[in-house]
Amino acid sequence: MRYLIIGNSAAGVTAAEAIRKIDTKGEITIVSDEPYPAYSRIFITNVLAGKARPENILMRPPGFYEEFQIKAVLGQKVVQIDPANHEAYLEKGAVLTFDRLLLATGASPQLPSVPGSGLRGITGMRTLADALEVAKRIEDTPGLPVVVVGGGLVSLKVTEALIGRGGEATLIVKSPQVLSQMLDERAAGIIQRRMADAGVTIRLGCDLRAYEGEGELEAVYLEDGQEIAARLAIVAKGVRPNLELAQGAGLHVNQGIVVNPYQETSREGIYAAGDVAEAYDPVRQQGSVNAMWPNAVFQGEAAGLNMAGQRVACRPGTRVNAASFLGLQAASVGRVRPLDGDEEEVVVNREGYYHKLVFREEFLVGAVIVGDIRSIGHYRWLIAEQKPAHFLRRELGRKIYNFSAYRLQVAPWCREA
Amino acid sequence: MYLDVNPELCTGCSLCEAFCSFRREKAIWPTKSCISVLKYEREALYIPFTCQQCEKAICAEVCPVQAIKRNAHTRAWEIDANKCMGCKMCVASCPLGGVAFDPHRGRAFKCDLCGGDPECVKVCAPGALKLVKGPEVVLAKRRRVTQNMLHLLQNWGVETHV
Repeated sequence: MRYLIIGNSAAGVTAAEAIRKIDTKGEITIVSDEPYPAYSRIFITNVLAGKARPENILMRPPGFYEEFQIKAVLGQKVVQIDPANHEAYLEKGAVLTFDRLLLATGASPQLPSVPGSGLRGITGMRTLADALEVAKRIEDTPGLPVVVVGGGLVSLKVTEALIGRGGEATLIVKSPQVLSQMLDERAAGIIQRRMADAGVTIRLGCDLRAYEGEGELEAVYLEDGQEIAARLAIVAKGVRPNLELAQGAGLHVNQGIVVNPYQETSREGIYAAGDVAEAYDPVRQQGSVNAMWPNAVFQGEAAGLNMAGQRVACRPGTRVNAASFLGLQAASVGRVRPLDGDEEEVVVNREGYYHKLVFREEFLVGAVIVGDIRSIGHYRWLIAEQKPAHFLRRELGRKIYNFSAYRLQVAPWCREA
Repeated sequence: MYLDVNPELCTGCSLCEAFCSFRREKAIWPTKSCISVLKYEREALYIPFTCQQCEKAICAEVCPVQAIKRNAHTRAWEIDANKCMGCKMCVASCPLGGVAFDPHRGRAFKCDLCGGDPECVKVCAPGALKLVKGPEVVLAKRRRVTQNMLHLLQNWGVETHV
């Protein structure tokens, strides 16, 4: 059996491992247009911050590909696949053949198409190459004026990395709050206050209108006419799935490549997983692209097992996020804003600490936490598996610790024990 | 080895939290405890949530840098603090709330069975926490975990809906 995996990140690598668990003899090939061995995309901002080197963020130890007998074709882009002839064509002309194909092609940053977007100095923040390039740029030119466009997780991580290096950054956010996908207004308010205290300038509710400069970026213009000097613009306004190969092959594509619980696409023998796949989301009750690392791992594993001949449904996935900014922890799962018919219960809402649950009938459908986030995994499970969670309501607030003040040194008798 | 939790015997005294955090931090500091007792006072039900050292550990599977590894001796899943980079994917994925995050160190932490002699077991007078050893318990453990913790919550949720 010949397995071809396009994509060398969470979904692709996990799939290869899952295949190898079952099929010790089959040929496994991983192709990626990135030149590096598999690394953790989550941590590229740590590299940007100077807190990690590329070798610290590898997904698997060196020697992984040999150990699992995986042929890695790195730094080469697949330009087309031919499902009828079971072939994939590389940019440089080579042809790869397969019996089972996994599309784990991930997603790319969405760069807004405003005037001047062809200028040098405008970059997304998706790959290790992006992080290394920006880090070099900042080292070469201390005090470089930087704008960060977008209010999502990546933007905030980038901003934190920049100020951690002693730089300054202006954050431009179209929504009236940061992290609008992940947090509600109150939770975001806590983060925003912390960022303001750290000296970050945030422009909320104001989108980018144009880039300005000659060949190279010199300034950005906002919708309200304000001009901000910037030599570097880091854009993180979400990602869109890399669907070109799937579209070219005539697969059923919606927001992402549509897959069933076995990660199968509309064409037999072709599977999809990770940020490119659109799977059923129990919270939204429809197909959804949940571009999250854990989902990519779950889907990659299911895809691999099914490609190797088992029949295993993927764990139901839903949107879950956990992150920390400037010492504050925040996490959310499912719906962060109640829909009609949902009930919202705010358990705690005070300085630096917030805990909210969203219910629909007896089910939990969403949660937002700032503070001790350890229950988020349990909430994720209750939501994704659609377990009744009505009991949580009556106990709200009981298991919420005071995060800052409750720190008692124990009595001497206890130390001796 | 794994910690067998029997919510039926738990009185909700929370000494396990106190001693766990004291061992780790030399302070009674429940947010830094690896075990956390969920209290449902009206039902007089107390459920100690902690790592169950799963056979198929989601936390280890999702860890982007493979920082969560099995200790060959205790069979506990341990987080390598030098490798962990604080992404919290394990925290977000564990259905039992078995992994917590330490904001001061920027690292995830979880129960490592105290190297084979857990503090919480020693202080649990009612015997709700027990250390079970040996490979033959694996299947029994799986059943126990499902029945005791998740199933319990699930069924109970249905009942209280009335």
